[in-house]
Amino acid sequence: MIKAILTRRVWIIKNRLFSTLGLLFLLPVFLHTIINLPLKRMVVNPLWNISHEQWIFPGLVIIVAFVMMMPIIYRDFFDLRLHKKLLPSLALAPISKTKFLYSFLVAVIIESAVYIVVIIWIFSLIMFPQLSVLNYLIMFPFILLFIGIGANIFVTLSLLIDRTTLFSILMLTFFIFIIFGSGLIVEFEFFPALIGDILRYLPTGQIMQSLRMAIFSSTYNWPIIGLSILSIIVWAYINGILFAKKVYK
Amino acid sequence: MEASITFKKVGQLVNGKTVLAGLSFGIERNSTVAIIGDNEDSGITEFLRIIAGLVPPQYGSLFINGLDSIKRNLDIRKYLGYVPFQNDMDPWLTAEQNIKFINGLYRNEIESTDSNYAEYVDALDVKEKIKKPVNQLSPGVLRKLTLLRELLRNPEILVIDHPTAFMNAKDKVLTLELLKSLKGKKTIIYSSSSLNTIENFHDRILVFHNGGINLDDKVENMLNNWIGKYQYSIKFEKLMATVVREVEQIPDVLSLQKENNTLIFNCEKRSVFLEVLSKLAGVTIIDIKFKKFNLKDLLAARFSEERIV
Repeated sequence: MIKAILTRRVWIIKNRLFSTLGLLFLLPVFLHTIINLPLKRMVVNPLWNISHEQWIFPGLVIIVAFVMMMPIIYRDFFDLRLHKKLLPSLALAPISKTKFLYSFLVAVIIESAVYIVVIIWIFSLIMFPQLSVLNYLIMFPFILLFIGIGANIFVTLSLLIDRTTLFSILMLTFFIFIIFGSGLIVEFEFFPALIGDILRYLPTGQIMQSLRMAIFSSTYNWPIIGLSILSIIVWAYINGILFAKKVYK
Repeated sequence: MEASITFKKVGQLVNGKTVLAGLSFGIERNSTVAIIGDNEDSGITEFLRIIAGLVPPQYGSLFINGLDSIKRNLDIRKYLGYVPFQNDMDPWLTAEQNIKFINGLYRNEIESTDSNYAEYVDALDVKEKIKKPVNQLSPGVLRKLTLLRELLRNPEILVIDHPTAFMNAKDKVLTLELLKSLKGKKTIIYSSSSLNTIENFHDRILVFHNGGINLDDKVENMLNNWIGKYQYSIKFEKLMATVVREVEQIPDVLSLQKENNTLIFNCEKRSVFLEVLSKLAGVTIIDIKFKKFNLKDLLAARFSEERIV
């Protein structure tokens, strides 16, 4: 089944090659210009003596990977569902809907992994973060964990909401939260203590902190890594049940 | 004949309204069942969706090839092909990519070189259209391609909600020809609002009305049971009461009516007309009209006071 889902993704990218590649290549340049360059001038004393480029690099990669992932889930679980496309056929296929959702998530993560490689390459060319190859390799699975959690949240919202306006507002709110409230570009120390503590302990915040600990101090927070993987699996299972309820509605 | 689909007291509510009530019957393997009824209230779409597996029956049980549709939900999928009324193809893919993707979910790898692929593509005349993105194709062509998508899996049971909806005349002919070529090889269950299509392509017609099956038979049998096959209208110069009485005596004359100087009657066999003629010696006949009843007449007679078609 995963082969069929992956092949379909390849076809969609092929059919919309120009817009996909355009977004993939231009978005890093755009984010570098409007986020990285001004922030670099604002941050006078970097935290823990880590250069601004190095600190912000994983966050920018995640933002672009997130933007690339959003339309995939939006289309398949919200747009097509609302317009009664594809899902009736999926509902009738002799596969469990939970299994379908797992396969779909794996396909999203594989596709995101390819994007992440390209995004890292582009950012490293324009930002010169002076990170080692090992840093990039460590960064990679953490970003995938972040994408896995984010994809599950997106799937849940896409399945629960049936109104386009409400969905758009929630997506925008969620996206703003991901950018500013997950430690991608704003460190939790800059928030008021209570809010910073709350954000720090959210799954997205935990993954970002673990990522930076792994890169900058070679400390691996295995419980958080394990818990994140478990969360992705359990959440995807719940999404599978939700998906089955929606497709047979 | 062995049952392919068995309904046992199946009932269904939609938005609190009963759309199907206590359906209990079977559909024989490899038979062609045409369904007709009031599209708004008759419950046909829900009936087809239940067979296809899109919605489980709320009351009663449905068995596909002897397997319970709820308990053996995934196992029965391979037997079924469903062509919904609304096109459900992914608009960002080409028709061929859609077909290959859905078949891929059934572990049925489609190659353009497959013999049945070429056969169906030719039969439906979609060789050029199949390569196009779905959003560039007309609804009629998309219906042909959806039918193709289902046929390529070679399902035993084909459920089609209005097979020729949105199609132009040529596409209608091609689609019906293909379906007719499958008659007796697959169980075909389809709904249609085209009485002509239904009359010419069925082993059995189910007439739905208010969530139940009002008529269930071949069209010939239904005509015989309800209004007869033929109607004769004989206009006399002067219609005498004795003539009417004599015709009334003939046992096979049905629904005899007298309108001015015209005698109208129904019958199952044409020979009845000859028998009537033999009673009319010496009477001057001005005109004779003959009509062969069809499904439309039957439904009009059966539901004259209720909207059915």
